Amino acid sequence: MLIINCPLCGPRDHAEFTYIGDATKNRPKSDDISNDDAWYDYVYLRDNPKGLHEELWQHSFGCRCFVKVVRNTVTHQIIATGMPKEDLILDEKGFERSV
Amino acid sequence: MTEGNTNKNFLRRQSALAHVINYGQFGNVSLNGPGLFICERHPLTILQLETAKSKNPQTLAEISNLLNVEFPQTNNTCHGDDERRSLWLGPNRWLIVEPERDCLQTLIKTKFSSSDVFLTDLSHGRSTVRLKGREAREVLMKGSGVDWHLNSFGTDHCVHTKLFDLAATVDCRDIDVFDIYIARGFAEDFWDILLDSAEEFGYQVD
Ligand SMILES: [Zn+2]
Repeated sequence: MLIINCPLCGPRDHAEFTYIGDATKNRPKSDDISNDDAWYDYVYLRDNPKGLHEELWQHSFGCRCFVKVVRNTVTHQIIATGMPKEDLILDEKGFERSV
Repeated sequence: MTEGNTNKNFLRRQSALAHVINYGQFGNVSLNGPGLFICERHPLTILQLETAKSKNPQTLAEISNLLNVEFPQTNNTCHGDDERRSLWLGPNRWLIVEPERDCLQTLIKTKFSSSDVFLTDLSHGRSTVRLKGREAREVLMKGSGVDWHLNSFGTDHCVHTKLFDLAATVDCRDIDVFDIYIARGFAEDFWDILLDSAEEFGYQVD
């Protein structure tokens, strides 16, 4: 059983969360649809990394907020969690929340 | 347990559990008496309140004055007593609970513009079960992975979680007293699972 530490509610079962997707994708700033490549990338292209992956989960059975999670796709270890706008930075000590 | 308004002019709210509740002692009741006491709290006014973020502190203070209840700012905490209680549900979101008397929603709506405060009446949509006794935490442990230890879940704490696979809000009223709010449509199912889980400790339905 995975435990995800919701920044608002505290540690909870992963069963309370809904997986949303890759958290590294940012919506293109321009609404210009002629800028095809950026939009194609944003909508369709996803990496499938072996190792650390930044992803969004929604705490749907709790506060209903989106949570940014760094998960190891090999071991399923949850390494860090924070709010979606936070940068989860990797340093010597591991991941830290930047606020 | 009947609470709130018994005035005949008031449209009486029907309990979702009334027809499944059997009163008495059941299960493995020891010489120390039942490990759990279970009852339904009904009828209650249950109101979800959200405030516009920009007007949050001011509006909240005014509603707080009007209702004479504090709105907890700390995550997972509650304020108040059986007469009127407020629970933190999420950012800018609270639950107000009281035995049904007046229409709370109208009371708030007449004083505040609808762009400042968003109210959802959930009285018809929730059933409330009160769990009490020395084994209450053991039963909660069976239903959810939340840390139910007294150190992290004490009096005036609440959690919104998945309990026996149902969305539930659990409010710790006292060390071994818990109010559980669940969707009315699942109340019967929840009641069955709860009684099954309580059987080994012996329980009394009041
Ligand atoms: Zn949460």
